[in-house]
Amino acid sequence: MTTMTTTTEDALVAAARGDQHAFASFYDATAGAVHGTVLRVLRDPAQSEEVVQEVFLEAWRTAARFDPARGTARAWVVTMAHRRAVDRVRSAQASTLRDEKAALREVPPYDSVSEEVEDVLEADEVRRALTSLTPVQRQAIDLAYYGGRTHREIAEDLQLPLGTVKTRLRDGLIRLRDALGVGDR
Amino acid sequence: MNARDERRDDPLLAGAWALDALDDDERAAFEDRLATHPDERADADALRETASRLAAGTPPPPRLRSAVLAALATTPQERPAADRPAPVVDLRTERARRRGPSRWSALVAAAGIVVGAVGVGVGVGVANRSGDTVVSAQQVARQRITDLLATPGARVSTVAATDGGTATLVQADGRIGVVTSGLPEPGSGRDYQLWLADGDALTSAGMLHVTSAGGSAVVVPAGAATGVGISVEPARGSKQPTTTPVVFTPLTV
Repeated sequence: MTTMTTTTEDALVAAARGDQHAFASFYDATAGAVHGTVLRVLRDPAQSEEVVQEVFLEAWRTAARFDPARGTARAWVVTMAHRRAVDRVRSAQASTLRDEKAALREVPPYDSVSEEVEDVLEADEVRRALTSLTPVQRQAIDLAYYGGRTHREIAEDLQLPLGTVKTRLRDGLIRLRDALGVGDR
Repeated sequence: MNARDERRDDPLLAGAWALDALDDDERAAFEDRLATHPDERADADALRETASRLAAGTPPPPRLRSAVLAALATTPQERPAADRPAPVVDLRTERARRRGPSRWSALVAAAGIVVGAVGVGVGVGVANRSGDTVVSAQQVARQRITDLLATPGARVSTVAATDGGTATLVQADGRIGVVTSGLPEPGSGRDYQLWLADGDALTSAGMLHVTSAGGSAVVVPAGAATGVGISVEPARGSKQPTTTPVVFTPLTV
């Protein structure tokens, strides 16, 4: 039994009360996932490091908001990291000139992004889960999660009705959820 | 595009929400919905948990760990909900938030540290060394920094000062906002001075008038600055730094 081992959730809860050692354990357990997520979206190591640092200081500041009933500590901080990375991508896009914007928005061949990701995915499980998606579900999820695009932008880029994109994102994630057994705790 | 497609609190948006594929207004509308639909919230949380598993683990460089852990001591924490007083809200900020549609809330979230500093400065009313005019000037500066954050392409970075405390820089629109927090007492008759570096040349960008909590806020024109420094100087200021800067950082372009 591992009853002596505290979970990442316990560490984050203790960190919310000012325990810096607990926060260090929380950092060690989640830094790879946080950095990996940010790097995947931003693709710039220097900017990614900056964001990772901001994310962990935000996590320290707002640790009291973590609610173990709503998910794991890893998901809590990775969600925060993904949001920040996506915000950077979007504000960079907003600041470019209109004609440059078209070039930025050019859709990459849809498989390339997830293939790159697959090279570094640690978990065979996730790789297997991704194969359970239909190609169009996978394309939509790639563009959203790794590309930082909104569902409206995806609909525009792919010239699809918004409802179709919403459905693909949701159905795709539901398949992944079932393949990964999330929520079967 | 039909009406159903446009519903902002459509339960079908759970996937887009979990993947961060909503804009700020849509996200707010959907989260309002989740707050009143506990059954849907559990499903949406599971999708978010799923999305977070898509991240490939890539360890960051070890120096990042030291930097983060070193900054904890000077980064104030929110108190747990149970013993947290009713939040103090800056009305202008709150109005701006409600007004939407804007990127405001996301950008502010992205600059949580600065907003934390705004909370301390505006909400609690920090005791200051130099009189009320300084604090109100700083309130104005904090508001201008908050506005800077709303500028598309705004860049935010936080630097740990060598003797404790932090400086957060917001760059946008040819201006630089500087917010300090937790800088140590500079000593009697002394204050922190802000410097802009252009190559090897340093130009004073004025005194920070730090409060007793080591806080300050200013917005200055960026000019051709390639770096920013902060040093302890006599309160009337120096032409060139006379002490080793506690903060010296290149600006990101």
